[in-house]
Amino acid sequence: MDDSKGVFLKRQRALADFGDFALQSEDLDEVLTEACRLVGEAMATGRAKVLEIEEGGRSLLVRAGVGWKRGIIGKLRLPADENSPETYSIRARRPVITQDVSKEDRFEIRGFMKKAGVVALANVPVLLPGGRAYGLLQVDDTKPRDFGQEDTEFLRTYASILGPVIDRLFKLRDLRSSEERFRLIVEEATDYAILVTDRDDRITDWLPGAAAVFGWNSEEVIGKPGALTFTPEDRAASQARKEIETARERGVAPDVRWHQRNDGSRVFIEGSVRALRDRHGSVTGFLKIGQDVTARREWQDQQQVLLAELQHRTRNLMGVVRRIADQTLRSSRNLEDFGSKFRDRLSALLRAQGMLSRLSEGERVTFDELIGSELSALGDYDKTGGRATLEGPKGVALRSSTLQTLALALHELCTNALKYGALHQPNGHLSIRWRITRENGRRWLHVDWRESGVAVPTTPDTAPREGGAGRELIERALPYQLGAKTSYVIGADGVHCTIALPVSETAR
Amino acid sequence: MAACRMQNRRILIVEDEYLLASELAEILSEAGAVVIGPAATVRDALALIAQADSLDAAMLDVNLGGELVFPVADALTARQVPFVLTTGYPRRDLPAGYEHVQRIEKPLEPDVVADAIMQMLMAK
Repeated sequence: MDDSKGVFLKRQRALADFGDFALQSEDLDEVLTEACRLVGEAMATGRAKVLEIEEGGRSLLVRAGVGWKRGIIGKLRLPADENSPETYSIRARRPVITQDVSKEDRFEIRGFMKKAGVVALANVPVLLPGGRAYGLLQVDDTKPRDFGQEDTEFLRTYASILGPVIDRLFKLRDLRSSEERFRLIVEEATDYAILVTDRDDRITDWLPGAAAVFGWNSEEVIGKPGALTFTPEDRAASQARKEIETARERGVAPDVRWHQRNDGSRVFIEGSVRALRDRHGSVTGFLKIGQDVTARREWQDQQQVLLAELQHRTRNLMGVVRRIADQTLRSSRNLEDFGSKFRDRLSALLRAQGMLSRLSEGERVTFDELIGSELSALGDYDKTGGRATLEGPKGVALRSSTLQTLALALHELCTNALKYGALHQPNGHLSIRWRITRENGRRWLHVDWRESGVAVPTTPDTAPREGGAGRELIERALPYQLGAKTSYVIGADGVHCTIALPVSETAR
Repeated sequence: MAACRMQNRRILIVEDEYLLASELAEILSEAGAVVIGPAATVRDALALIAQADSLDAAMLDVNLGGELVFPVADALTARQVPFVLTTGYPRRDLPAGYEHVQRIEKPLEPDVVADAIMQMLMAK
């Protein structure tokens, strides 16, 4: 085997080896380094590098190389000077050879190369499919060298293989980066449950958002039916299948319903199911994307409950007002009498509603507030002072449900006292005392309302009649509605009334 | 007319608001009915049903101070006693099984109450 045939075979092998390597690797730097190694070996220089055009052609990066120091490869950027052989080779799209640096008079050879002992070099442009220049393959030798036609043709062949290999890796990198972006987007979107099922609606992809929303991890659900996240009711009603069929027919189907997590809890999803199709239009699977809107949904439900409660209260209140009007009408002597009594009673209702409406969540109206409010409503009943004594603990929290009826009852007691009783008669005195006891584990408020110094009229058509509405509230409404124990006695010197009712456990 | 048909019929009232319960009792008594109750709580209503030898119909307030009346409704259904639900929120959905129960809106109008009861008594 003569020498030139040996060289030829060696070079053929370099090309073949590079081809094999390039098919197996997807790492550009690795491929370029191997290209340099093989070409350095084939050219028996041991030195080669690949320069990549950067900054739109203003500089060249030493992207890969063998026989060069670490500080240069991947780091050194060469300005694309006008008088450099690299720039010329790229512009002219043909190999440029310097056989001996000391005799080079066309180009300026870079200082770092001279310093590294480069004496001869060959520049071969690397072109990408379509003709765009990628950069250069540069083979260096430390002694003068011809780089004759065989060398040059080999390097051109080598560079023409390098171009498409680089191009393929670029495309792969772009694809990867767009895949990576896509992956990052869907993986970061943890408020969105995203999953893909196959044509039979078996789960094939379960993204982190789906895991975050539904609780299962990917391994637990792959291959399971898409109905997995549906509630038992919806599964029984084949809702998952209905959605799939709609998506198959119309392309997309809404999925807005309660779903079920792996721990059995419910999550409200607002989303859709989209049919995925191949190039021929047949359905290959389904993409399901939904947002967890449970918090909003629960808030809406809560609003509905509040609204219903408001409706209930308003309508009951209207009924109460109508009943009070009827009763007041029956006990009124004339329209004027009706007007003043009805207005007073409505005012008492209004005060109770007002106190309730000013409460924050968990707060309660206290008994001292309520009795204080009813007495104040009487106006200046105690000009001389000492007409009324109030004695009892502050801050006894009343159950809100009891307030309205209790307020109406106290209003009647106060009004009667002012019109006929202790607050009306010159020697009258009103004593209101209250205390708390605990009976069978429940807190009870005991109110003792005692009027004294009151000359009780014996004629039947004044006080007792006025006492009618108040008396009914105390003797019947409070026990009925509040579970209270009450007594109402018209004694020799005035009314004595006791009210015992369960109160809130939470002291204010 | 209503008065004759309702004569001596035994009608249970369940309503927690005293003033409304007493009004309804008055309406029914004036129409000649025998009022059973009124009861303000589920517990009291169930006790009345258990004690009553016979019941012809019932008027049930849905919301008894936050407590829902449905256990009472179930007890009446078990005894085949017809009932009407009185409610402050007509548009709100009732639980499954009660969708077809007759409902009347509060505040109650005496004529509407009488009609509802007559219908129940005639259907019986």
